[in-house]
Amino acid sequence: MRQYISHNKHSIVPVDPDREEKQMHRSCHILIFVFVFILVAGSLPAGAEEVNVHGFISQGYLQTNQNNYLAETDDGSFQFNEMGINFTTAVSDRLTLGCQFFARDLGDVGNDEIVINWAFAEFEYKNWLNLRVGTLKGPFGLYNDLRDFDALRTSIFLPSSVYNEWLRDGLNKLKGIELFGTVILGPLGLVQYQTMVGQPLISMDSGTVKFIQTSGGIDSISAIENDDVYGARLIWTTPLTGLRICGTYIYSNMLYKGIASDPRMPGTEIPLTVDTKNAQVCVFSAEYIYGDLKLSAENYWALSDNTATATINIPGKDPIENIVHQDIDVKDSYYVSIGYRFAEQIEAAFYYSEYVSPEGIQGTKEKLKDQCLSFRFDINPFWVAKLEAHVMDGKFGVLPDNDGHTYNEWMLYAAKMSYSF
Amino acid sequence: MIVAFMLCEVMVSGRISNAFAGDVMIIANKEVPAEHLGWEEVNGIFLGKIMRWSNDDRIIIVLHSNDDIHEAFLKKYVKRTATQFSNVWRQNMFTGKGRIPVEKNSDAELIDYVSKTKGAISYISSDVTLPPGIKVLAK
Repeated sequence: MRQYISHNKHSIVPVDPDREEKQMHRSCHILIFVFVFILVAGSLPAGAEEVNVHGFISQGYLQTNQNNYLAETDDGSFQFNEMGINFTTAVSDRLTLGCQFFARDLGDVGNDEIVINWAFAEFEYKNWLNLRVGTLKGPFGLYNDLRDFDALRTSIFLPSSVYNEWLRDGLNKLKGIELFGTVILGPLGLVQYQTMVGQPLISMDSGTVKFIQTSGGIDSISAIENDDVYGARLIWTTPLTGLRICGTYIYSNMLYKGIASDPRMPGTEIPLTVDTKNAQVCVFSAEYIYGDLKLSAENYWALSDNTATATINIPGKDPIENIVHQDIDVKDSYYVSIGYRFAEQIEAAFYYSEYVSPEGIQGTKEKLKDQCLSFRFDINPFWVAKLEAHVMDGKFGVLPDNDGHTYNEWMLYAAKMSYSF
Repeated sequence: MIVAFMLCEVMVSGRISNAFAGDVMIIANKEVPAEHLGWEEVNGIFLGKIMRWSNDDRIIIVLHSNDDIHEAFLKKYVKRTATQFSNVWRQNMFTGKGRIPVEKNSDAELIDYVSKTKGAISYISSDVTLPPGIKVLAK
C-alpha cells in the first residue's frame, strides 16, 4: 500500500518508512561535511600546492503567486540550496585526480544528502586526445558543466526548455569513460570535442523519477533499468571573435516499471511498464560575447520510441495487457538570452524560453513559456547575490497550488546568495 | 588552501593596480617549441583549451598580478573582460578540469619563474628588457 507524505497533501512522492532515520543520518553527514570543510580550510599550510581545495555554498528562496514549482513555493520555500567541496591534485605531468562532494535540496529532491558529484582520473596524452574515467558530468549544451555552481552564471535557473531542473540528476552524472581533446584548425579556429559512454546514476529519489511521476501519468515508480548512455559534444570556437557554436548528441535506452491508476476505477492499481527505445537528445547552441555583452541561444530536440504496457487484472479472468506505442518527437523547445555587465559588480540578463512537450495519450501538448529577468550582484570576489523574476505561461512540470488548482499564467520569484572560495 | 584562496581572490579582483598605458607582449621559456603565436593561439592557451606545446610538454600559464597589465593583455589577446576570464578558470576549478595558472607579483618574479620553468608562458609590458632564457612569442 502506497503512503504519501502527510504534511504535503499535493506531493505524489511515496514515503520512505525509514525517512526520519535517513534524514538524521543525512544531518550527521552534513555536520561531518561542514566539520571537514572547516578543518581542511583552516589547516592546510601555505604553499601546499599539491592538493587544490575549492568549495561553495548557496542558499536560495523561491516564491510563486500561483501553483507549486519544484518545491512548495506557493507559501515560499527555502528548500533550495547547494554546497560542494572539491579536491584535485596533479599526480604527474600527465595524470590528474579529482573529486567533488556535493549536497543539494530542491523541494523533495536531494534533501541535502551528500553525494559524489564528480570523481575522476584524467590522463593527458596530446592536445587532441585525452582520457577521463570515473564519475563524470555528461556533455550537454554549453552550460550543463556549470549547473551545480551558481556563481558562474547570471541567472539563478538555467532556461528550463533545455536545462530541465527535474532531469538534472540524470544528465549530470555518469559513471564511465570519456575521450576529449582540442583540434586546432588554424584560420578556422579550434574545435573541442568530448565523447562519452557511461551508466547514468539515477536514484529512486532523484528529480528524474519525481518528474516521471509528476508528468508521466504514473503514480509511483518501483524500478528503473538504464542501458549505457552514449554522448558526444563539439564546441567550435569560430574565427569570429567571441562566437562559439556547439552541438550535443546523446543516445540511451531506458525502461521503468511502476503503478498507474485509472480515475474511472478508484482504488485500482495498474502495473505499468514503459520502455523507451532509441532515445536521442540533440542540443544546438550558439554563444556570442562582445565585451560585456553576452548573447546565447540553444535548441533542444528529443526523439524516442516509447511503448507503455499496462497489465489489467480482472478477478477470475486472465490479465489483459494493454499496449500503447508513442513516438516522441520534440523539436520546438528553445531559448534565447541576452546578458550585460553594467558595472564591475552588477550584471543583468533576460531570457525567453519555450518548452513544448510531446503529445500525451489524449493528444494534447503541455507547454511552458518562461520570460526571466535576472540581476546579479558581485558583492566581493567570494559573495554573489541574485534576484530574478519569471513570467510563466503553461503548466508543464508544474504542481498544483495549496488549494489543489493549477493555473496557466503565474509568476516565480527567486533569490539566491552564494559563497565560494 | 590558503594559496588557492589568495589565488582566487587575486584572479578575480584583488589585483595590484599601477598606471599602465603601454603595450604587452607574450613571453615564454626559451625551450618552448614555438617562435610566434597568433592571438587565437594565445586565446586558446590562456582559456585552457590548448594544454600542451607541439612537443607535448605541458603548458604552464603564468599570470601577472598587475591589474592594468593583466587587463591590457586580456583585451589584446584573449578578447575577454577580467570577470569573464576569471569565470572560465573558476568553472575549471569547480569541474576539476584544467590546471590553475600560476601568478607572480612583479616583473622580476615573473621573468625569473618563466626563465626557469619548462613550458611556461606569460605576458609582460613591452617596455621590459628581457634576459636570456626568455623568448618573445607575440608583440
